[in-house]
Amino acid sequence: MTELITQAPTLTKGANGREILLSVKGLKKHFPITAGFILQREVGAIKAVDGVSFDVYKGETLGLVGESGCGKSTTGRTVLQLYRPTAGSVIFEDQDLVKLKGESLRRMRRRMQMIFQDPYASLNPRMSVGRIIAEPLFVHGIGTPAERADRVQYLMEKVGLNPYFVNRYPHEFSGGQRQRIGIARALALNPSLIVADEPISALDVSIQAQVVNLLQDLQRELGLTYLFIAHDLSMVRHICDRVAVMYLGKIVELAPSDELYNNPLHPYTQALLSAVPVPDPASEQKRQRIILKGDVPSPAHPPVGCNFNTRCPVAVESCFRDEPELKEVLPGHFVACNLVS
Amino acid sequence: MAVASKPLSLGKQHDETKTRTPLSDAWNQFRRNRLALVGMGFIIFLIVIAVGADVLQSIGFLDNPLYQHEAPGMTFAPPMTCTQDPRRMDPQWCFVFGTDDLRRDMMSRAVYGARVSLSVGFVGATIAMLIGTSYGMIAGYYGGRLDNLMMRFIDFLYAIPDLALFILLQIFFKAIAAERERVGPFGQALVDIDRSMGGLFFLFIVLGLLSWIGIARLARGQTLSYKQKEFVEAARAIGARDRRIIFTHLLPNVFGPLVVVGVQSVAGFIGVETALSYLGIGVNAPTPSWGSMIATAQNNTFGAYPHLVLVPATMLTLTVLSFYFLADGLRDALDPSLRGS
Repeated sequence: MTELITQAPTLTKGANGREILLSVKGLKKHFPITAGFILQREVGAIKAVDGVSFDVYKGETLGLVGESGCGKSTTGRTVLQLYRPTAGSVIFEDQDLVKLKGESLRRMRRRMQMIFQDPYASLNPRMSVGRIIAEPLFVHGIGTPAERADRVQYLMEKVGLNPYFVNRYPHEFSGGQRQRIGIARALALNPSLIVADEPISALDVSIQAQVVNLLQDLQRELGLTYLFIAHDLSMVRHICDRVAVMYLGKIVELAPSDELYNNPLHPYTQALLSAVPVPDPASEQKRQRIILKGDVPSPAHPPVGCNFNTRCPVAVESCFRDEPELKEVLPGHFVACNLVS
Repeated sequence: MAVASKPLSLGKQHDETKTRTPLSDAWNQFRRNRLALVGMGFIIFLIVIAVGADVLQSIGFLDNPLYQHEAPGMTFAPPMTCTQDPRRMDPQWCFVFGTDDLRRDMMSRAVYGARVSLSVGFVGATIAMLIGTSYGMIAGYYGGRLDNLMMRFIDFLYAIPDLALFILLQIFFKAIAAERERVGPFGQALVDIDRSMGGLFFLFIVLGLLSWIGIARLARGQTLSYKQKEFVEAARAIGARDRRIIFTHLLPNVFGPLVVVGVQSVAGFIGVETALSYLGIGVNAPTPSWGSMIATAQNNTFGAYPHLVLVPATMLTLTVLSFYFLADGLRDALDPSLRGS
């Protein structure tokens, strides 16, 4: 298995001296809306991701949270080039993935992997567990069949599966076990970045903790970096070093976990966090929920000015005119709000 | 943490040596459908006697289907009639299913007719599966404008009334065969192939022309639905090429419903062949076919000699029913989503 890349190239250092593994700048993903019978014309676009920028440092876990449809999954997939972005750059290990095509992009896929939300849909029902986990090695032509079998056994043990079940099929496993198979597959190529797209939201609560602990153990042992997409805010606080909050295709706030949870500055983050129950009866009694009115606007027709102005409880006149920029208001704490400076 | 680091010892109490592959599951399900088993049994029986017809003839179970017996009064002989034919080495012959207007053995003609019906059915279904699956999967996988164009072409083909086209084309080919000297070297080669196959070759071409459109539509629909599944996205994230995604991830999953429709279509092709031969534009005249046998019955007052129509019609009915029963069983076995309905 000498072909497996174990050493990451030297990375650019950020302002705080930490190595930047992934740097996303002005990322946009617009899905065209077409009409017409044979000659299809573009009549509009769903702005699923509309100008997102963030850095992910080596070895950290960056959380990406937001309600359904805010573009967090699309961001994850666009970072991995599963969707090609409309605009922006994705610099991963000092290479701009957006500029890569074909074989060179395929080679970069060895360094970044994905864990999927639905463990029932993410494994091919016609392939045995051994073939599923070995597939990344096979696709990149790594190792001999015997070496691949060894690696499969190692990976199965690593994720807490009995290697005895190597010839079984996905339908013979429970949801949690299937998610472990998905994790083993993601680890097969020894990647440095793993995009986890709501890896626990389809699992039982009792299994969620196991999988989260597994992910943390693996991060510590293998030096992995996670982009962790989720909507469960308490789980995100537990696992993430920093958290980015998304709303309607844009990041509205990005800060270290504790800072974000203790001192949310954006009105949307405040509303979101006010919905999280506190496991302490005394403070739970005092918890004031901020109820947002209305629905998320359509990403095909986002509002003028601040995206959040249709539901913001504190919006002023300028919010309907000026689009706020993501600014660093405290060290490491970024907010996109006209009222915060 | 401990939960994650030690392998789960689930399943120790189960029989660990036994894996349930998707295929063995399908067989277990199929076995329970008695009608399907009976259908499969009859089809196997039919294949054996059709393939082994020459052997059966050489050991004296069957007669030459073209041989016209000389014995007097043997025209339209009822079943179980025995005769002496002075022209033969072994003059004694018993007509189990009776004789037809030219004093030929009906049982032998029915068995040799099975050859025509089965080969038309299987070749037609194979052509339909090959073209239909590739066409549909390409359209579904690549999507976009290509898909749109390919599907509009199919809509166009759908608008053609197929039986009318079959009749027209068969008449056209018959005319070509009759004018062999005037159709050029390529046409002559085709006509020669067709003659050596007793008229089957042109029938294959005619049936193959439109047969695949239903399967193509189904293949496209299945591909579209499986293309969205996360395991296909996972394969792309791994770095699998299009070819691998199509053949390893899509085809095995798409194949089940296609096989079901393919088996059903065998019955359809047998029906069309019978219809064309009944109209006198199927296989060439002396070649025995169930359709031409029914036509003979109709021309010769079958009210008085019911075996003339009963023998080919029973064979046809049993065969078509068997294929439908088999397809029914396959659908339950290969498509778990339909199970129990």
